[in-house]
Amino acid sequence: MEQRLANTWQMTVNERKFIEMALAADLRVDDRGPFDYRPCTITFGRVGGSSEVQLGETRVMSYVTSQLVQPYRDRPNEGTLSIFTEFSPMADPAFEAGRPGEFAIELGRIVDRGLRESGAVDMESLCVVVGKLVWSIRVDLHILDNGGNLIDAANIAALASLLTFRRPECTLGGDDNHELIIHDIEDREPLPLIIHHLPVAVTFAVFGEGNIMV
Amino acid sequence: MNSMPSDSASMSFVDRVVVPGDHVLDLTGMANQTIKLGAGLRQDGDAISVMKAGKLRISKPNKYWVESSHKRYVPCVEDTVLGIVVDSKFDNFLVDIKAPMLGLLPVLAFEGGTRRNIPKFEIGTLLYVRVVKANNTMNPELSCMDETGKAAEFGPLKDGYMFETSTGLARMLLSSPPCPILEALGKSLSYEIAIGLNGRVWVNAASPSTVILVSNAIMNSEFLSAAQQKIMVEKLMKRLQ
Repeated sequence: MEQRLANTWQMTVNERKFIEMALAADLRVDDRGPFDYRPCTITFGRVGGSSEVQLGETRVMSYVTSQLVQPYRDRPNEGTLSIFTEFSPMADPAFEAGRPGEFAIELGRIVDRGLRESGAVDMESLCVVVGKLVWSIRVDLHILDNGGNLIDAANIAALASLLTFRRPECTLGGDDNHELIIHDIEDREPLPLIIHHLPVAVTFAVFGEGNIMV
Repeated sequence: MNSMPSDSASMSFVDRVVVPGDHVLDLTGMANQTIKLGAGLRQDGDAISVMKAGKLRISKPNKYWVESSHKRYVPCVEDTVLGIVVDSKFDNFLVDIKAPMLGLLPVLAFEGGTRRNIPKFEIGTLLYVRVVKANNTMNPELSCMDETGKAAEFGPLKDGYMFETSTGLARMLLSSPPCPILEALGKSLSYEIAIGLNGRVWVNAASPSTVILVSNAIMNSEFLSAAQQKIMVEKLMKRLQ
């Protein structure tokens, strides 16, 4: 119990009072205005589908992979999209390796719902053979450094990597037009995902009985 | 390395970067001498070997230690640190000092402390304490009194703002003569500061904008030279006016 307590972060009474007092004067502790963002840099990997986002001190890396699978029974003509999060212990001493904690699952769900319910990624274009083969897109989010606001950073990373991801083109060919050929990226240009719009997550915090918003 | 005479062997390593495994001092030529070993050094038979990477320092006449900068703190006796109260038990407060284990602060370790006037600290109180016992197998023991039993400046810190830095920056801020950044800020602003060797710094001033300016200036000054620190403070002052 003591070992866990030593790893979790505790806020002092002084900090809490000071943050609220400074916010009443429209000041944030790192010299930002109430609605200012921290500088955001997005770096892309050489291979399509990987991106690293740095939002202030927070760093999140995202990697997209695809696989051909059988579709769900109730959606035979749609591909699938799944988000996995990994909270590396190097990001924060409170993160433990192994099973994702509550917050990790919540972050994955928020990014997933943002992409799925807004219909950002076109699922029907991922269908290859109706009822038999569809593309399953898997997004892996790795939290490298926790400097706050993981949800926004993870969302931007997921979007950036989905935008640069290229999947191999596949056609039906062979003797009786039933054989699936997955073309090598050298033979045919790989295809990007069809992304209709970009759902961007913006996190707000409300202080002082609803009077101050940050 | 071991065949060199002991004096020149130690001199050649002082103020240089050493890594774990280096033998920095040969004891065979030094009989009947007392050498004090500080953090990061260990006696290995006839030689002193290094356990932590960092710079080897010497304090005349005979104290050696390895200085390194980390984001976590390894408790050392006689260090003054800033702790946060996490829990209170019957005879100890559990205090987090950024070390692998929680520190124990006895409820009687205050000036004039008796069972009747035990202070009541709520969870999250920031304390300025001294490390009394530090061992890597037991929880470190803390105290709010100095060696003579006086309160000195120890105890809870009121108001202000606390931020965390590396241990190397905390040591630089505590160096004497005063660190250039603190002097430069002090010329134009008035503020109160408490620095813990565990990398926690507490700042207080009359207005929140001063506190924010001071704390951000200190956090940004870690890798700047003295001249660059002065220039940064001058730029900040011009921006205020």
